[in-house]
Amino acid sequence: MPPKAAYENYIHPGHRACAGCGEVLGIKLVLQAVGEKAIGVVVPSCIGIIIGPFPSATFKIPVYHPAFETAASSAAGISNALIAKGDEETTVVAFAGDGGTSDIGLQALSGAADRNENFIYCCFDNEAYMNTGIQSSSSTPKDAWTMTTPVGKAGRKKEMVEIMSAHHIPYVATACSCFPDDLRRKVKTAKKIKGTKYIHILSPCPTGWRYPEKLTPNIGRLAVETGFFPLYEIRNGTDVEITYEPRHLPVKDYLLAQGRFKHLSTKDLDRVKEEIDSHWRDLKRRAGSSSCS
Amino acid sequence: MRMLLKGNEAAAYGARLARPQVIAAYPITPQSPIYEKLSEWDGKGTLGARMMRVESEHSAMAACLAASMTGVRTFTATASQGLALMHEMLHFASGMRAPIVMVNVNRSLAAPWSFWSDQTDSLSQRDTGWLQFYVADNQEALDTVIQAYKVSETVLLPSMVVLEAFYTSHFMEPVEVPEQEEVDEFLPPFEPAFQLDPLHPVTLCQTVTQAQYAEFKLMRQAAMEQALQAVEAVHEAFAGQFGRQYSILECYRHEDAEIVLVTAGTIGSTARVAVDDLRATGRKVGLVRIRLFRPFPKAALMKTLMHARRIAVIDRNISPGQEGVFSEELKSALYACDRRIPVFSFVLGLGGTNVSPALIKKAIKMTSEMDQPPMSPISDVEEENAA
Amino acid sequence: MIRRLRPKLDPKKPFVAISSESSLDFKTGAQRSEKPAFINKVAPCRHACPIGINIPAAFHLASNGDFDAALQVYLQDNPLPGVCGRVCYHPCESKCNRGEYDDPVNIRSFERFLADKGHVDVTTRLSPYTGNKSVAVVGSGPAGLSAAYHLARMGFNITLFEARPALGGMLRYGIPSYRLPRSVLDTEIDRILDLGIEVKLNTTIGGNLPWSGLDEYDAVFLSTGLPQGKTLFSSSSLQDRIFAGVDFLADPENSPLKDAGQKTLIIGGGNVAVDVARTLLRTRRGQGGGITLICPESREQMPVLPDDLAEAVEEGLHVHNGWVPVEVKEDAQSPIAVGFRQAEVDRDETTGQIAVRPVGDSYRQYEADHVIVAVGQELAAGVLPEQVDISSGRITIDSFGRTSRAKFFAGGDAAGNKAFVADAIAGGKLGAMAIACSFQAEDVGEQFKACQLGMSKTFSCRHFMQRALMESENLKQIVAYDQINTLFFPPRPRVFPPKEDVQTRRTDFTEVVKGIHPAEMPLEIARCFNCGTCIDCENCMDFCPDMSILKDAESGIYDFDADYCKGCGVCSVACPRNIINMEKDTG
Repeated sequence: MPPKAAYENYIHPGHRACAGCGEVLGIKLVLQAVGEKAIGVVVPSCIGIIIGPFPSATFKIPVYHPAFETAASSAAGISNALIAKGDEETTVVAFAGDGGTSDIGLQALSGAADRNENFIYCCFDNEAYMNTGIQSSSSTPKDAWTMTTPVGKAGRKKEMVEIMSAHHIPYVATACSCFPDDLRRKVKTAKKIKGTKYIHILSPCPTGWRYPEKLTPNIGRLAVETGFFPLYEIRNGTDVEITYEPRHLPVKDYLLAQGRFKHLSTKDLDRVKEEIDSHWRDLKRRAGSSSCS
Repeated sequence: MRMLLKGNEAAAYGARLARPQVIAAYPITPQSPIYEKLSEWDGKGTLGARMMRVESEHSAMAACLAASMTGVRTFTATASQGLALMHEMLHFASGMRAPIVMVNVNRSLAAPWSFWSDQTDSLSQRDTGWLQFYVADNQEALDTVIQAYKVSETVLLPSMVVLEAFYTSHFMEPVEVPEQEEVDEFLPPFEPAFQLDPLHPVTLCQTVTQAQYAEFKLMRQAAMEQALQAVEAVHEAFAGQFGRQYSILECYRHEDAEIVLVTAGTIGSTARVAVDDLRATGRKVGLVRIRLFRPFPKAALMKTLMHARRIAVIDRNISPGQEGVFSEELKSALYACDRRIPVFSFVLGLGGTNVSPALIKKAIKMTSEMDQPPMSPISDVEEENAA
Repeated sequence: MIRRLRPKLDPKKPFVAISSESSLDFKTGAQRSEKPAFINKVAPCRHACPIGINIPAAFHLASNGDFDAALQVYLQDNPLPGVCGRVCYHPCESKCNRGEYDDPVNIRSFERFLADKGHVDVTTRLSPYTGNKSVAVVGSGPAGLSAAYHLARMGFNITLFEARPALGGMLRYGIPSYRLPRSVLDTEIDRILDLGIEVKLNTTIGGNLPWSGLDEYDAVFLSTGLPQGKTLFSSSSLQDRIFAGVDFLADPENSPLKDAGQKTLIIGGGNVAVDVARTLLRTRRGQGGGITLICPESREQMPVLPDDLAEAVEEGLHVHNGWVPVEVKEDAQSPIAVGFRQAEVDRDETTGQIAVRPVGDSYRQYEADHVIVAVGQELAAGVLPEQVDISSGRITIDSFGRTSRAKFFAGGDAAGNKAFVADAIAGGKLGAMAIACSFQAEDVGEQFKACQLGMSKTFSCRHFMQRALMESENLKQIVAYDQINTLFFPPRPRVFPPKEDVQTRRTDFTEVVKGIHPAEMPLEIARCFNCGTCIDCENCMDFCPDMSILKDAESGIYDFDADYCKGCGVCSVACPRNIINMEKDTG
């Protein structure tokens, strides 16, 4: 493993992310792995603000900031333009939030994935429409407080990773901005593959999740270590590989550290534990029966 | 080469000859044959462009725009619901100064559902900052697609070439299809003013301040005004290269006309028969077909119409609560005239209903006979049995 | 005609929102109210180590495979890592923060590993000291060896006096070779002697050389130890069958106690007693049936190191706890009968003093051919200089090893340091500092305070020699377990060193505890948290959302970017080992 200072950054400081933002951390890491020869698509989301107001531009790679639901369709357009120009080296990376992915952007993403368009799609999941002031999205977990679910969200979190996997695209992965080496490795893996690559990046948000901003590293690590957010890859919709074995710490360590979950009862916590256990049994079964070594 | 082509096919030939590098499309009646023709060529390897078979029109425009931002020439086509779905992205494309060319086949907008010709779909997009060309026949369709690229890439605004459902799109006519070499000479490869390029990184389309937005918007206005001259220059160049002369206003027997009929699209083609019939009876009637709607040729219209005694406008569209759009816009152009010319606004052919020469003649007769134009547009026109 | 509305853009420039400028003009640093400070602190293992070895720094270097540099860290303060790596009572491990997480790190085995594997030339003299000062070190046990080593490195001329035929003191004459192989001891002593120390063996000051013989020296360090075993039954007529444990250990192979057929009773509960028992077993080639150990302490109270007692029990030692000897029957014809009463022991944890209370009426006799007494040790009789005060049987010293007589300093067992090798080495080190300060007319108290580790009795040699504490080091702050971010450390069990099989152990002096296998050592090295010691893991840089942790390419020093750091504190949490403090930023 090279010393991390060797990773060059393709994002300038001076950006407008909140202090302690787990999403811009993830963006930084993705860009380190993608490198210089890339074009980014950023749709409205926290990222859209992070890129800065004109002309103060934060990304060092070229970036296009189109309409909200067009992350995947725009990335596909750029990808085809590059092919038309004979450029086989430039990587196209779409940066979208969870709302822009699993809600309004889902059609375009599904269409692009169906056609196996060549780009890396990074969904930065902070589990709500944070940029517009913390409104719930289909990616908001059950029971979470948001401004539009003040007594806790009734429905469950939409399983984007499984949806993308069902398209049988060559590479789907989960990652978390607080596991930097894992995220970088997955982006590098994606970079080498032709076709649609989807990486779902859990991005802790102190502002929306209601925790002291400096704790972002711990919140992200706990999400994974409690088993709440598994780190795994799915290739071609069938081959599952678990990329991190969590310690299965008590899920309340993760949930009750955040103000958006502080109203959860013991019964709720038990239910979540049950769901985590069930999800992991399923993941292990699928990973065990996968053909990859 | 002379070929017997439907309007959709002619548009497709025009598109292919212009050598787009990326095409993104989604099928919708009556546009689908354009998409199918392009796909057929793609299957044979003779298209020359990357063909994106996207999952909605919104994505089609988003993809074209993004490809255009990456420095390539792009093309798409749609109609009606598809155009409406693209609406957000049309504003975006114009705002990004992308020289995209799109063919729109006028079709009624739901509700209720209808497949036939109506101009409301394209006219609803008149504020989006796209150039709009309304064609009356298949030759014009092919030629205008090629011309539109030249204009768009000069002024850096996108262009919409408007056909009509079934009247243009599915009617077969003889069409002169130019040779590729001729088109290449007329229309050189696209040289983007800017693009997404890792060697020269830029950030496109960040948030701007109020004043910055105003400035960018007014620059688009300036580009639109410049487009008037650009279109005329392209018409001249096209005539020089291909021998077919077009103009912003296609005028027919109008110089000494007392009553001038102003219209757009295929009604303008039918109207020539009506004009000839009326002229044969000694009536001094003329026709002005508006070919370029955006930018709206105010000065040209004023100049062309200032000698008319009365004007009749036929709109195959209506903006509910107002009147037909061509009529409304024409009136705004005439407002600066010293003399107030009465304009009689007719709304005919909505939903694709047939506008026959007899109907047109009746409208002109009403224009001649009524004291003054009513406040509301006239839609209650019936053919007379005798001409 | 366009009406210009307060134009912000030059019409010749962008007609569309396109920018090739950066966000560097926006100084987000203006937002912060706190800023990070990068400050190395003291790990609890180092604080607990009597010698104050910078253990996490050594682990860091070893984790990069640089074992020589890691050994060098140990040798800054401890000249005898191979010894301590085998026999130390490892207070470091009992305070190891990892111990609260899963198991403490095997620090002692690590020290041994480095000593066995690394190569360091210690002969570079370190100090700013000039002038030709000489010091006599009297007694070459761990305290004396340590004092000689540190003083020689500081640039002084050293003569090391030793009463016995060879150097090492209790390291050679007390600790059995199955715990400390003689080859290891010799190698360690040779390394010290490479500094150019003059050695005078078989020389007893106050014996065959008078104290006046040391008048030429500018200072004297007394580390004569406690070579004399305390006696029981001193008035008995059976002295030929009562032996001192320390005397037996000094030369077990030539002892009359070798005969396996005999019953031997060992009285005492400390390391000496247990070492006597185990040594006796080996000299009797495993015929241990006649060996019994009795002490007044309970099993848990026995001062012997628990690991050593466990090994002894594995080897078959019979231990009887809770009995205090009260008399010996004066009958020369039969085996010695020693009478015991049941007892309880009250132990003063700070001083180590015990008070034994017979309880109840139980009385029993144990019979044996010989008795070996190992109930403590004393100063050698009559071999101390004038004017050096003694109290409670130890040379009186102040906190820095100064005795009541000018130019005379003391350390080790003789001066009342805790009776462990590490404490003796620490005493030697402290004495060296006091001597050096006395030569320079410096206040040793002030010097000590500047390099003291926390509130411990020890200090950092490196800081004493360099005299410059960097802003990025805080020697007073000890890292507690709750300041370690355990989310960055995967749980992993402790690696244990292999041991010789019991049958072999019972019959010869092969080293019992081996080194951790070199293939497994990296696993154990990786378990160290490196509390308070920056190891350039660069987690801070990796996690900073604002690219505002800077590292100087040449010096490797960390700083924050004042222009952009938002003071979020993520770095302070991402640092797993408590380097980064968030401080108020009023600027």
